[in-house]
Amino acid sequence: MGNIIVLLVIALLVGGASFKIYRDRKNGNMCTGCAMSKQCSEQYKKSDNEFIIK
Amino acid sequence: MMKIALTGNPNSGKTTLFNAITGKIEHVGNWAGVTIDKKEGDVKQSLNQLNADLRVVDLPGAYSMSPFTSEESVTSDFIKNEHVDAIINIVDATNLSRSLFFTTQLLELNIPVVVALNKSDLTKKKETAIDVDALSKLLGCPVISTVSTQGGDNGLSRLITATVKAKGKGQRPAFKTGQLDMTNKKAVEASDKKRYDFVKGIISKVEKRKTSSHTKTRQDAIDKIVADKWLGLPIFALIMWAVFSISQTYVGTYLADIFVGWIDGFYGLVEGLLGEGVSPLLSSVLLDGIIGGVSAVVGFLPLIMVLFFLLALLEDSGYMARVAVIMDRFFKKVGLSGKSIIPMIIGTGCAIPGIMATRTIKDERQRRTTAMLTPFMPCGAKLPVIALFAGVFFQDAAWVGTSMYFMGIFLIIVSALIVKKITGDTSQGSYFIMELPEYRVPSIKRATISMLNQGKAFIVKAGTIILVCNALVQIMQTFNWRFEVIAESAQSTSILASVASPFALILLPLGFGTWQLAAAAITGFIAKENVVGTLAVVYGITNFIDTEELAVVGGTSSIAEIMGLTTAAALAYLVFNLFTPPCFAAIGAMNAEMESKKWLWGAVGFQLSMGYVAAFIIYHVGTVIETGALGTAFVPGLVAVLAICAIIAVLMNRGGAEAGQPNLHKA
Repeated sequence: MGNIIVLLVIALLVGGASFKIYRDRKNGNMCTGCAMSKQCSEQYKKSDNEFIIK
Repeated sequence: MMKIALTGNPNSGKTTLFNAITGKIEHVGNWAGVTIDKKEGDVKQSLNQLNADLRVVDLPGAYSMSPFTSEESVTSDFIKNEHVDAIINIVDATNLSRSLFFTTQLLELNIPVVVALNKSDLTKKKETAIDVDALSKLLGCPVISTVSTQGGDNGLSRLITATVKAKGKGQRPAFKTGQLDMTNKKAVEASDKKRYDFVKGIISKVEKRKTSSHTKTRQDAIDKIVADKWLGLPIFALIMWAVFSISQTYVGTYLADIFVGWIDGFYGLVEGLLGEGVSPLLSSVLLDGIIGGVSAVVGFLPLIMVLFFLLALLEDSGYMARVAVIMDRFFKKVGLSGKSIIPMIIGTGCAIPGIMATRTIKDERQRRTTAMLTPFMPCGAKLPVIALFAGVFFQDAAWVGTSMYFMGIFLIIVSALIVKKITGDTSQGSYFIMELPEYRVPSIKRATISMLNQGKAFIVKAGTIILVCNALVQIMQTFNWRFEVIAESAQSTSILASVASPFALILLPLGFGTWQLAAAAITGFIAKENVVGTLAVVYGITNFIDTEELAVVGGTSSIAEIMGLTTAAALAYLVFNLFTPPCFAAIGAMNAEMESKKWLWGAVGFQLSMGYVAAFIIYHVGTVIETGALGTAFVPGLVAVLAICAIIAVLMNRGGAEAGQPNLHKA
């Protein structure tokens, strides 16, 4: 039982962190946890929310 | 929805006003050029007394509607093409004569303009009186005095009300140019002169100064010393040393000790809860991989926060703009634009916005070179690595951090010279004109907000990217390629060891040729903080701050022994991690700004070469000083370094030869 709980905690931590990284990228924050990532990502965006791929 | 554009000259306080009316916390700085692209936000309800639907767009600073730089283009294009309902023109009340040139141009666009006479509190200190009503009549638009840095009656509510009321009313120009052929330089200059005369006429009617703007002020006297040709650099070194002393030797370390005590308490609590009934494999992934690795990085939080607080104070005081002036002298001699220093100073926070700020540089070669060299300035993510090595190997000496900044500057200058030769650039240094902001007492509130933002970002990064990486590193360290759990004595057969070992061989001449240190350097390319996290996981260390306690856990007398590093090798390892290519995200930003795969891969190869050569020199020179003999694998290392130098010399020679040839495109 103890092993299952620990496994669940690990899965929750790693899964949660991975989901946060994925969701941030989807919302245009390319560097999760960077204080300026939102500003940086804004600069890549066009007015129609499309990313400029150079 | 009513769309309002915020415009004004650089450093007039647009972003501070934007933050005050929207409640956002966009980065502000006491110098020109902090904002290089537009930002949007909704007006706070408390300021919106007419309950209108308001959207505000903060635009980069501009001196004129005829754009000279890329950020000025953003402003003029937005105002001309985006059908804004009103313009709030932020005018620096302490510098009216400079600001009104742009105001008179905005008034010609037939879009309602409301002037925010910002920094009004400073006019009293400067013994300058402005007749706001007379100014409003002469310009033909509402003028509201504002102090966006203060709470209470700061004029912002009146500003928003006046803007909402101005919607749909059109705008009468105060000064009209008429049709002008913009390709006719003389006609444009004559028109600009007339406009300046018109502005001067307004100033003479509305402004009364007790002190003439030509009089030497206390600020001029300070600048004479601080930005002096000879004194400027030593003063900068002294200030950086003081910043590192406070953050890494005194206050930061004191706070970190307390903080690490809490982390250790938490680790002990989880360890106790797990007990002995849980599988050792799961227990080690959770305790050593996730909690231990993340804790080792988060332990540096107090040091990082104190450092960012002090850097924010410096920026807010106006000193960092003087650093740009000091560095300009060196940069223009090596083929960089004076503007290159701005991305590099921004890069001390994070390399990515620094690299993006290079787009303000017009010359393509200078822009690409600056994007290539900006990551040499140690960014915030590298600070835990600096703090770790300064603490473990150099007794928290402040000179370690300070010297890393100056080594970054030195590498930038040497590299710029090499790139100038490789690209065959023969152009003369360009002139750099930058408006120096006034010195001011730095705001504790702004510095605290900046510090808390950085602290929050650090924790989020540790809880996401670092956590996932550490878990992966722990798993890769636990299993071999047949996915069997390996014995503790056979760690060199793990997946991690087999991946990192070939790299360790290359690093042997630098004094740190072990798979553990190679693995940490590799994970550093995902995020530089990972170097600390991975070192913690591979060596089973959860606490790099309180080293006495750790030494007991590790069973050796010091962390240096656990890692098997000499002082010279530790410094070389630090230099290697700091000055080889930055994280992948920053490389992506380089790719976007350089717009050339040749330049991008050239830059990555060059950064790797510079980091390798610098680490090699430091390790062997340091070892000679320490022991009187050369370090490990000197000969193969020397061959590698000579090969790098030969390739660079050939490229420089080819670049020089091409520069001597006639340019057929110009002919």
